[in-house]
Amino acid sequence: MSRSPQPPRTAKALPAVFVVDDDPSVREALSSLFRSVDLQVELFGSTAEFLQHKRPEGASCLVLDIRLPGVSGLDFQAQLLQANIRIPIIFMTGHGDIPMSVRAMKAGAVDFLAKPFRDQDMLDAVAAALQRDRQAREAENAAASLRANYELLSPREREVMALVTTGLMNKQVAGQLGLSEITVKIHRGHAMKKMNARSLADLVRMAESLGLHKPKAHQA
Amino acid sequence: MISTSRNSWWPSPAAVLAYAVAILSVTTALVTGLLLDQFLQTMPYVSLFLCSIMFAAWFGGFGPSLLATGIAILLFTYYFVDPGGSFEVAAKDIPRVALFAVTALFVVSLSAAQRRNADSLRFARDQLQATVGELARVNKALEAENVQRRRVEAYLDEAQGLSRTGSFSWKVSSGNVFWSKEGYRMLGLDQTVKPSIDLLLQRVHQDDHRIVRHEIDRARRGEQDCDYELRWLMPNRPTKHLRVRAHRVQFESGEDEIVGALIDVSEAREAQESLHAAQTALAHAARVATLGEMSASIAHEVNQPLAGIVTNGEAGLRWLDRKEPDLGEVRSAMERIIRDGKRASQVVERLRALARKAPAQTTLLDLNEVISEGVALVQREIQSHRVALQIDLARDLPPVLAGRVELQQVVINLMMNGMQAMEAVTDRPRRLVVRSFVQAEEVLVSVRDSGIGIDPENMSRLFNAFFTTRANGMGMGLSIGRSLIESYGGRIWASNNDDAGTTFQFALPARVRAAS
Repeated sequence: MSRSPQPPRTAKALPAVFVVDDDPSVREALSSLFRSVDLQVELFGSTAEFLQHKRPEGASCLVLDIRLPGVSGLDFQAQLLQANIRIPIIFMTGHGDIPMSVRAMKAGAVDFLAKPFRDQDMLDAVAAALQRDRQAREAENAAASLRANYELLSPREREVMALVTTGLMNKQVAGQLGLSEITVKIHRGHAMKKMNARSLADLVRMAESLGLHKPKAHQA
Repeated sequence: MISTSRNSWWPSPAAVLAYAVAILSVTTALVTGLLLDQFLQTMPYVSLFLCSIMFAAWFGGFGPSLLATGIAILLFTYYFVDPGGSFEVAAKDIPRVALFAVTALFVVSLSAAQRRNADSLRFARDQLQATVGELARVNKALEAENVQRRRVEAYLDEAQGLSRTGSFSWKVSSGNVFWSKEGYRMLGLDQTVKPSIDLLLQRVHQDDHRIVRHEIDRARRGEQDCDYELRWLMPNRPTKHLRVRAHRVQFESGEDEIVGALIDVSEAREAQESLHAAQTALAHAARVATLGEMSASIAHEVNQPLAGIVTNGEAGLRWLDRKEPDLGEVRSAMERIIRDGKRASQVVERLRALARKAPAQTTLLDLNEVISEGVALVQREIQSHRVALQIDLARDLPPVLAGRVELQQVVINLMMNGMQAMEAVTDRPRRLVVRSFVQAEEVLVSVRDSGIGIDPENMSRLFNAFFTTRANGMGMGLSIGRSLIESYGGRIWASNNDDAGTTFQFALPARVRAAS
């Protein structure tokens, strides 16, 4: 339903998997596995190394060992959330317990795999994570373009859009703003065009994503 | 002094009596003669005097008989030689007097000779009697001694039986062997069996033949002492442990003999073995408990290479299944599988060694190796406790004689304790320093933490069994550690650091590298 302004896959932005595990055996094995299905892989021995790496354009996910030297995987997950770095995380553990997995999943982990894991489980988890990241990115892109379009509206058009999308008739809007019904109609047309809205319902959804109704709720 | 001086001046009462009897008998002869002369007109003076002299000689011996002779001659002259009533002797009577005197002296000499004979006979008899008495006394003493000796022998037998000690002797040159009663009993042999070295070897446990032969050779070569143990096979009964202690003695004959004691130490050995078994079991239990505490680390340690293997295998298959199989990738995946497989087996081997319930085998060990292996096993714990580990091992450490697994257990235990002591520490670095060094012919290992330290009042109880300051601690780790270290002739102790935390140390005697 949502439109993607840019195609997600470009030559530059292959889906990338980041692996953080202090054990080179596991790192190398995962690298081989992901490369065999044409995923781009970056390997890190510690979270610090990972943080120094630039985040890529394309969809990506993080395959993270729970036990790491220095900071634990779970603590690192919390740190990333706090720093507003949103990347889907798949946890691996050599010895997991239920509280650990609950904590990880509650904090938004995609999956929690016990070593040794089935390759298909790992690939499925990575696929799901990438999908989630892709969707998140698309949603983010959509929101960004929505905001950009909204920036193009004149103050009056914004007022009209806000009121129209609350379900008021043109006449009522005109009455509230002290304008003629015709003027309201024109502003509304401009707003819909600038916002790329194909219908009023489309515009209502956009207004909701932009959070235009909050001030109104405030008024009431 | 008085008595001796009197003795020297005065003759003995017996001599006085003898002379008195001599005088009396002559007087009696005179009186009898005079009476007979008066009433019977017969004159038996000579015979009477001779009789009295003989009596004096018989009673008193030579001296009194001479006296009696003298008196008799005087009296004879006085009374019976004319003129009577005076000591004068008429010329015609001189031969009579002389004859009397000669006869009397002859009688005296005869009597004296007879008396001497009688005396010497009596003396001989007395001596004989004394000898017989002496012999009887000696005999009695001998009998008493014999009784005593038999008693001592019985005591000895009894004591040998009670103390399970037999005795033996071995004349090296002649090869004659003697075993005491208890010796026979102990060896389970009938006393009619003739003891010999060959017989001995037949019943010695196969594995101890070498020792026994070696000791016998040493004895033959003239070694002074020996002290060794052997296992003695008892048909249908448990094997005995016998301790042999002997030394060389030289008897007056000049022949060398090995004299020794045979001690049944089976009970002590069994007790020792069961103690050892209990200790081993306890140490094993503690190891298993430690393994339990480390289970998360162990799972990680094992699963890590396993994850590598599985993932590499699956990745390899995927590389093969591609439209254009990438054999280079497959090869490197296979190589990684082999590497990880070896690594996993090493981990498992180390764990198996720790979990194995085998009696401790002491070998010459490099403590540095033991420390490194221990560190490898707790590596994960170190990471998860966020501890900075510093390992400082002395180079060219002399070996120690101990059980590898047991020492590893002690090292791991000390490291785990150190880490646990630092759990609550947040205001300073958690540092664990493991050192090995040599000091005064001992090899030392120290484990120093920067933890909460040990309450001085707990210091003395630290190594006691069931003493723990941890909520879920068993209080066995250090206690077992101490008994292990002490069983290798070492010692273990703890001290609080000047700044923070505690240092545990143990010391083991350094051995010579090339042990014979």
